[in-house]
Amino acid sequence: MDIQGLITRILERRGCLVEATVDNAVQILFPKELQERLSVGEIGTFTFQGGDGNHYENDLIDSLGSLVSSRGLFAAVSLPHLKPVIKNPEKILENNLIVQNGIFRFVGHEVKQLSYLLMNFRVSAVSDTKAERILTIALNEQTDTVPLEIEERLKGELENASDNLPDQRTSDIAGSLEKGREIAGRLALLEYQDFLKSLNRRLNRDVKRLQEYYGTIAGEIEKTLKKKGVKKEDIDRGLSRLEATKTEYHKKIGDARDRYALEILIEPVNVLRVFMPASVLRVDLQRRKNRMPVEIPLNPITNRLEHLICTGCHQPVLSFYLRDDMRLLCPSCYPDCGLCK
Amino acid sequence: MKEKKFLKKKKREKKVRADRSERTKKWEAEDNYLWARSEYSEGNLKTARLYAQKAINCYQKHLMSHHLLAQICMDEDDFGRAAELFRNILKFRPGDVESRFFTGYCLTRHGSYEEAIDAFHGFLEAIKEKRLDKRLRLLKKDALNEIEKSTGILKYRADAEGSAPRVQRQIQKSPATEPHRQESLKKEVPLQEDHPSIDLSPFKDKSPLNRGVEVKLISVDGDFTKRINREEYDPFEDYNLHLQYQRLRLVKEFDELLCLEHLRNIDKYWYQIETVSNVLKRFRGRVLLADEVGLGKTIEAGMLLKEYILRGMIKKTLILTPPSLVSQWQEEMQSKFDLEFSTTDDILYRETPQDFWRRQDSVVASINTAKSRKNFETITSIDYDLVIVDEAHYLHNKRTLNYKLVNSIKKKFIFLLSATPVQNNLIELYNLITLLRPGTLGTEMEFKKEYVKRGNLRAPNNPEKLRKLLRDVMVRNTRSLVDVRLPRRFATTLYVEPLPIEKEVYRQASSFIRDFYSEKGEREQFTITNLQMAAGSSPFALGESIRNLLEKRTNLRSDDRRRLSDILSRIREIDHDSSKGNQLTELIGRNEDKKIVFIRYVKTLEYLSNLLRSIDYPFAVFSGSMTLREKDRSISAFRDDVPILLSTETGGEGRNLQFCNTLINYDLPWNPMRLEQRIGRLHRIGQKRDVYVFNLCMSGSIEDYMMRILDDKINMFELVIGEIDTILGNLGSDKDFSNIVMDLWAGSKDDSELKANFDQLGEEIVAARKTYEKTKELDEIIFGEDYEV
Repeated sequence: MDIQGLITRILERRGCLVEATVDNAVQILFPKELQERLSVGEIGTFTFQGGDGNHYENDLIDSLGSLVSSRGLFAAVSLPHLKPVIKNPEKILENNLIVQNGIFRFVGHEVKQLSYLLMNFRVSAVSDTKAERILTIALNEQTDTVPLEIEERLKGELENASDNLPDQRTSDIAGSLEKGREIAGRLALLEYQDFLKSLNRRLNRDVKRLQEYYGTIAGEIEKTLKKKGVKKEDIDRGLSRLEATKTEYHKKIGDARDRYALEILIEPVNVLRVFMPASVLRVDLQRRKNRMPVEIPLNPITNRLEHLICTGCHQPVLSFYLRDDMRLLCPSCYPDCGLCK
Repeated sequence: MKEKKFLKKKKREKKVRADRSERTKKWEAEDNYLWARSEYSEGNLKTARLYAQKAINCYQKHLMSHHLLAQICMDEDDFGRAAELFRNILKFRPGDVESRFFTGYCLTRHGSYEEAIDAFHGFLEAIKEKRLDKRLRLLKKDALNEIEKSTGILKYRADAEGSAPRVQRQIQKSPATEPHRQESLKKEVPLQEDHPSIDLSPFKDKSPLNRGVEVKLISVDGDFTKRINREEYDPFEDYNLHLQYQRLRLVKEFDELLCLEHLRNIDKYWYQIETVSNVLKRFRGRVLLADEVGLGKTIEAGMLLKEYILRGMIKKTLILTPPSLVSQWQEEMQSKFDLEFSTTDDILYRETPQDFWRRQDSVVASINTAKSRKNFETITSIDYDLVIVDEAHYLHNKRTLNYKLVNSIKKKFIFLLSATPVQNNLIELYNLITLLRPGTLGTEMEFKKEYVKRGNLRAPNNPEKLRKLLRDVMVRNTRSLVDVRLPRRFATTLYVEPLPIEKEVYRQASSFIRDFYSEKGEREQFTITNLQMAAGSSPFALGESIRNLLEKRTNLRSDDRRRLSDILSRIREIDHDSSKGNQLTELIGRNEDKKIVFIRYVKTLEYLSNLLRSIDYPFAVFSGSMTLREKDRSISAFRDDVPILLSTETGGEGRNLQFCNTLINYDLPWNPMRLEQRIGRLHRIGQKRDVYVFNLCMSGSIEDYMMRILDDKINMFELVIGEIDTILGNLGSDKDFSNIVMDLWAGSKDDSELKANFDQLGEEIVAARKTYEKTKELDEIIFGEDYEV
């Protein structure tokens, strides 16, 4: 949707009459309630000069924020048109699931109605410059698994979404949101790797320059102190200058570090619950004499196994280790488990 | 013979063709190299690498590209490739000893120790016959250290493998190494006993380099979880609209400035926008803004400040200015950028200064107040996001408290503003740049050696290199870049002889003010100044101010009340006749050109309205208290219908009034900058005709004395807008000009003392102007047009 379409739609949803004019503008007839809320007259015109340019600075766009912020935070749809098909589930498991220090056994499979949370987070990286983007994290509520790379394809499927929701119990969203936030944090670190690299480069450049600068000053002081026949008071003065140089040097290094420190802020924008049917494979994981049943869905959109979650770092995994107490750990966490710590 | 000639011709043609092709390749390489450089300075290593490689592909002998690419490879830790590039350079320029050194340097980092040792020996051999400057001496020292380190590593490896070290033999063979080794050993001899022990290890400690940037993950929730933890769902369309709206609001890259839509009453110019973009992207918020006077450094700083605020990148801001500019900054930030700043006039400052500095996020303060013993420690213990220093040339001396304060403040971004960064010598510039980015110009000693001509601290040595470095930290736009060609302006001050009764009222008022001043002093500065200014505007304005005073100050002594009441009753006798009023009607009747009349006081405005009405002269009124619509109506009436606009000072900035070219100052603000602002409403880009300024001033009044200095002595109206500001700044007083004038007026016992005092002030201002002219000249020579955006 372009900006004009978006604004038109938002206003229409709030009872405005919006009409496009020939000169790249819209004429808006505001209902009484909105006139007061947005401090506008009955009729207003909004011009779109030169495409999608700098409209987001406009006052009207600012005030639209108050209209959208209260709605659309948490919605739900279902995708009944998806028909999960599974051929040779054992083969799929064999090709994808790796238990590094144990075995697994396929028990069976069935089609289940699953619910996923599509969580959108605004991720802002702030240092001496700022970058922002929206990250979408999908999470299977029943299994706590993470279907990777599903977001884009799911958007396509949502065009055929239905408001007719299955009568299904769902869990409290707070816990899932917390998990989503953690995953978003990890993804953000990956997303901003170039940004971080550039910050590191600039920090190192500044630190090097400071080292050279203060090092040379200190060297100059040292040279003076080493001269023959330097008086005691000159030595004292030189030493206190040297101390001051050291203090200032450390302070400036601290300043540089503060300047380039990177804050990644993760803020939830909104959440969509999506119900869809999926084939779920029931698998027994076995380590020594211990067993643990798990359900691994075959995602109906990607047609791939959904990842399980490492107990230590919450990383999505299909290749993992099992502890004796049957906790599942990714190769980098094993044998230490975050929970135990 | 013919054939020979033909062959010769062919050969010549071939050579010309080859030359041409080589030239083209060279140009292409040059282009690519410049792109690479610019990308490199932006920090885009990947793109820079591509361009540099392209440049080399175009022209193999383009050594600068080799150098740049090698630098990039080193930055990217690709030392193998860097070494290869340095070797290529050596093929074309075997005498390049630095490349020899860096070949070795890169090879050690690449782990090729044996080859590195060979390269370092090559370097030592090459410099053996040379006269070593400081840099080469340092490189030599480093080379010896590297040889020693690499040998050690090889020896260790060889011992581990149980075989004889090949390199050790090689070192023994090398005639060049041994003396250097001894030389380096000599340096390690411990200090004699009477020398103090000096620990320089913190400056060599590599750990700050390895630590990397600190990363904090912060969860922001607000009441989101609470708001969504409910039974019913929102419609899917609202979810979509919400998400798309949020995408629209994402902060964009710096290419798109957010602040432009938020500025009020400002004419924005392309070079200001360009400067702001550059400071954000290239200078990363640490810059010396050194535009020539009148080009809008304050506007640029304000735009940057607003931009950072809109992007949520700063919270705590401190603006440091000379004392006389504090209120001007506060007002401009409010009126042009919609930013509220506190000053030390705040009641919180008077009660608990420490809380004031800590709690207020946006403060404009005089640098003198900030550096005082009372505040220094508090201010330097606070983490500021942005510090702006206006008239930053006051930081030119490292030993001053001004410098120490700004150097000690913890700050993420810093803007230094000065039209004349170099007042006396280049060391001042060095100090300013060191404040912004310590180490850019080395130590003071190094700077002097490298960049300042021996025996002349004003003349740069090695100007090209200096320019290169300064371009990373400073912007200086000049009038020739901006191409501001304004028409001429002519100013006339009309000294009007007051009517006897006006003279009497003014005398009585001044006498009361002097007595009141000597009794109350600076505590009542505002009241006193206001009364005297009103008296200069018109008797009616004075009457209104006295009425207000009598009404609001119930604690006035009965004697004072009586004197004020006397003045009031004399004013009533005037009966709407005034010498300045008569002069005005004479002036506006001279021709039918449009004229704008500036007035400070509402009562004077009322008087003039009545006066013009009484002679059936059509006019419009424009005042700060009018609504937007009323203001628009007034301006269009003035443009289309009536010849006169009576205007107060406020609210008109940024409005297009260039269709008028005559301005009459019915009363005169004591602050010359205000006078400039009035003139600036007409004398600005877009004005096609010469501008005429008439100042009306009553003979014998304080304005009379003031104008004799500003107009007669330093020809203020010939100066470029903004220059008077700098000149008065050179007076070295903490007080602003209006207070200086008031002090002289109220503090002089009789007319002869008054005259002597004003003469003295005049001389000081003339001297200040001369100083300014000299400085301006020096800065023009040093900087020229080399630092424009």
